[in-house]
Amino acid sequence: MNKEDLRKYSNLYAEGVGYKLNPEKETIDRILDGLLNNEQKFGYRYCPCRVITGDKQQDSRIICPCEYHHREIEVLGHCACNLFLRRNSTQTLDTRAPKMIDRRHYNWDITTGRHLLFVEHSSPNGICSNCVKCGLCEVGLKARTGKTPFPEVFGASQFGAEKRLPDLHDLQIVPEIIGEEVFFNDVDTSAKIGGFNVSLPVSIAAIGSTKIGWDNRKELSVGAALAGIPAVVGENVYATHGEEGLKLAIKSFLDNYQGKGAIIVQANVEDQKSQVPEKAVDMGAQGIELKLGQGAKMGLGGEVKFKGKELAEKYKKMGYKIIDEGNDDYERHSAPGSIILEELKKNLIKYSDLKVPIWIKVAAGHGIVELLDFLSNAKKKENLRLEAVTIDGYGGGTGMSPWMIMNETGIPSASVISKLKSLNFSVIVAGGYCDGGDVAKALMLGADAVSMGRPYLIAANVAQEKGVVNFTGAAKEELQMICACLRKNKLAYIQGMKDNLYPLSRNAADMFGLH
Amino acid sequence: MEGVKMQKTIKIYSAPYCTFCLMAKNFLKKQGIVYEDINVQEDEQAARYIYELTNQTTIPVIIVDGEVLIGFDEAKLKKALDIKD
Repeated sequence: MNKEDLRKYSNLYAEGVGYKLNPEKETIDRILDGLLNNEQKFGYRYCPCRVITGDKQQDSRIICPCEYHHREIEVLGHCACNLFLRRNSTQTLDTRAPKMIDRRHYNWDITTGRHLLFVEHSSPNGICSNCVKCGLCEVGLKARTGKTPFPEVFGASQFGAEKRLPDLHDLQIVPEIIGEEVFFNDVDTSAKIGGFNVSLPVSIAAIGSTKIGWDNRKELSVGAALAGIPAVVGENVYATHGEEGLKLAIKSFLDNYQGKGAIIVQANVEDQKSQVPEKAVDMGAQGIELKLGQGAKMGLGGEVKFKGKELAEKYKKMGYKIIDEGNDDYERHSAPGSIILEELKKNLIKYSDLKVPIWIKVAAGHGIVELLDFLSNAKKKENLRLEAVTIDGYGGGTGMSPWMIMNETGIPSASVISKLKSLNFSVIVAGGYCDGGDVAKALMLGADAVSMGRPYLIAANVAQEKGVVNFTGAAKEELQMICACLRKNKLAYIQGMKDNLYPLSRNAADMFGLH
Repeated sequence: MEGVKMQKTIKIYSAPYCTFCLMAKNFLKKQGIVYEDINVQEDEQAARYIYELTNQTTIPVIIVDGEVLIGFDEAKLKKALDIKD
């Protein structure tokens, strides 16, 4: 990379996460020269204002943009080398909405009496072992603001829970020894899920109006069409980006449609009030998804932060809850939505008139078995167009949810599969799935398909629509290889092969109903 | 040497492209203070020494008669050097 490319890359990064580059040409030129000099000398663009220790693991933390820059910018207004600056250099520490990159926090070292910058004290419980009144630890943030910490940088990134629960990695796939050989490349992965023919039983989970989601919206739609998988356009797109935005999300898919997959538009409470399902179907959406819950924030609606009273008034009229944070800053909260079974049935009858497949998204929790059983019976009696229910669980991603909610609430969606009765619609599981192995295990437990959000957002972020196609291709190859290991020449045949899953712990056996 | 104020021993651990290292050195020069400059990108032993000493990676690290200062903070450096405004 030459200096001008690095300048462009650094600027793009700064813009993307809400910072700015240092405007002093002499300073920035020196830093860029330093980064390139380090790249030439050491192989990596290490920060020119930090010590290169020779320990590869430690040094990986100081590759620009380094691990420490978010916190430094938040506290000091600039990173250690002065490359990235807070956008508004006069802005003081944000005392309204505490944010943490993760639960590691930073402190000053009083054991030596010295004032150290950002020494990490790994503290899984969020309590500093040695308080020196810095106020930057989890407890300090709460004491300062009276609010629960959210991940940063809001809008520019995506977040998920950090706590390690027993998950699908605690199940080992047991190969089939006896049987005819299967060459993995010949395995047929096509399927029909949620009323649509797909190349792989994987869908792109609802990605909505948050900046990072919207920045990749077109690429996600185009990529899904080329890969032949369904993509769900998430909540609040109409409110935030208007009819044109919704049209773009749908049309980008339809223009590249090759006969497999689908473009589905999600609607939360406010979207339904604004007739988003009706509008979306008019624009060519092939299905709708009613949002009843989300794994990463059960009980909370979608939230965004924005500036401007005029916009606040507009959103208020659309039915959103608006919180005035002062200084022209506002928060927009969607309603979490009630689930009253008879009301839900009426809603499904109403939307069945749109004559397109209806999907439902709900969080995994108490009552999920009863809910799905009710929906299955209602579909039979009322001839509903309900074709799929996506069960989203612990590990699911979000544009905004407090760390505490993501870590301490919710259960993995795969843990409910064994409890479900026979259903007349597809069961799609979501929340933390990220490769062919995860998909295979979910299918073997009995799910019909898997929905992934963050992996596809990363794929689109890294390599645009081609990233979506390639990531799907890699998942397909992994699934084909697992099918070969299980001696099945069609992916659909591995569904329900629970006997070929070996739980690595009693907890995993309990969680996934494998006894 | 009663009555004669001796200059403190100052070591600055720095790197050539580091903005705050440059600022710190310019400040010392302006004050006419003699210092020993150690380039941590050339001297691996020195790099390891200050990483172990301070348990962090930011430079400059300035040692004034044994007192360790991390980063360039003019007010703190002046205090360590007994410079009054």
